[in-house]
Amino acid sequence: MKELIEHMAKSLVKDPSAVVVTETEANNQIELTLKVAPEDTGKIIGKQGRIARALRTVLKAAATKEGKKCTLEID
Amino acid sequence: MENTIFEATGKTVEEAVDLACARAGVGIEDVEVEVLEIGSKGIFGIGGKLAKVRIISQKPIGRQEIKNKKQQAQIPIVRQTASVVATKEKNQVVPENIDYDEMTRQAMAFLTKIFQHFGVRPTYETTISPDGVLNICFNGNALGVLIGRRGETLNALQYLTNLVVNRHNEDYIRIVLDVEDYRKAREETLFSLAKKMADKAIRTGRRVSLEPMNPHERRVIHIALQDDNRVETYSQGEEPYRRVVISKKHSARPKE
Repeated sequence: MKELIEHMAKSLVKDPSAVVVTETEANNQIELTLKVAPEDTGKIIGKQGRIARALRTVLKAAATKEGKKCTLEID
Repeated sequence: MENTIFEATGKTVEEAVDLACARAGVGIEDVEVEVLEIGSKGIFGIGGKLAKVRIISQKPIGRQEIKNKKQQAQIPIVRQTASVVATKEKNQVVPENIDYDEMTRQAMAFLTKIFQHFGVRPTYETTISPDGVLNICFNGNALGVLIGRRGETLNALQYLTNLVVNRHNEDYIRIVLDVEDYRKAREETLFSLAKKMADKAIRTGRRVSLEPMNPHERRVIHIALQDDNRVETYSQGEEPYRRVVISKKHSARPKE
């Protein structure tokens, strides 16, 4: 999961080196926190959160395949 | 040389065969046809089963290749709904000098890594629509995970791919992702839904509000009913909950 969001975030931002993801998992519940360079925040949230929503949809699909749940926080 | 096998579905066996041949880029005389499912019409468009065929071609098809893009782009669209949408397209011109191979490469670099996390390894083929849209269609086993509920996952992947690819390029190119014939099948569903709901609006005299849809799906509904003189359609609400409303026309205007 961590690599998946890292890959997607790095593909979207201007400064991939600033992408940091932390992952915690308990009881099949994965919590991801994504941090990017301040000027890239818009690139992963999007107008009215459209990009963030798309990212969450993809994560959810991948997590469901493993029988897990996944949340994404953007710092 | 290996035989090339290609499957397709359609409303009738003939339609499925046409589609399969068109997609494979071969003539019907070059293939052997195997009917997998005959299909049935169902009642009022409900419960109908699509016909499914398999064609086996002795000729090399090479659908992974992106060469001869122009030729591929001229493959006739067989299904009714698809061609309706295509002909209503405004006079858009295919932008010149666009490196579709490079765009495809970028899109696939982004998507292949995602697919690994989904545990799928689809093959793909690309076509360029007359209006310059790059279509990437995936085929393979267990690709339902790529589609999601009502195409939710597929649409998310498509949106992200558009962002990632166009970020690097000056000309904006729209990319449409599809899995097997999911989008065409969905268009057909929407098309018959539109007709059914229009009848309902006329019968009851009430406005019929459809469920929220994305812009493309709403467009399919509007186009399906734009030549229907008895009803008018409009969209209301805010994205992503915007929905089409179908209402009976009160003053029956003469047809133009």
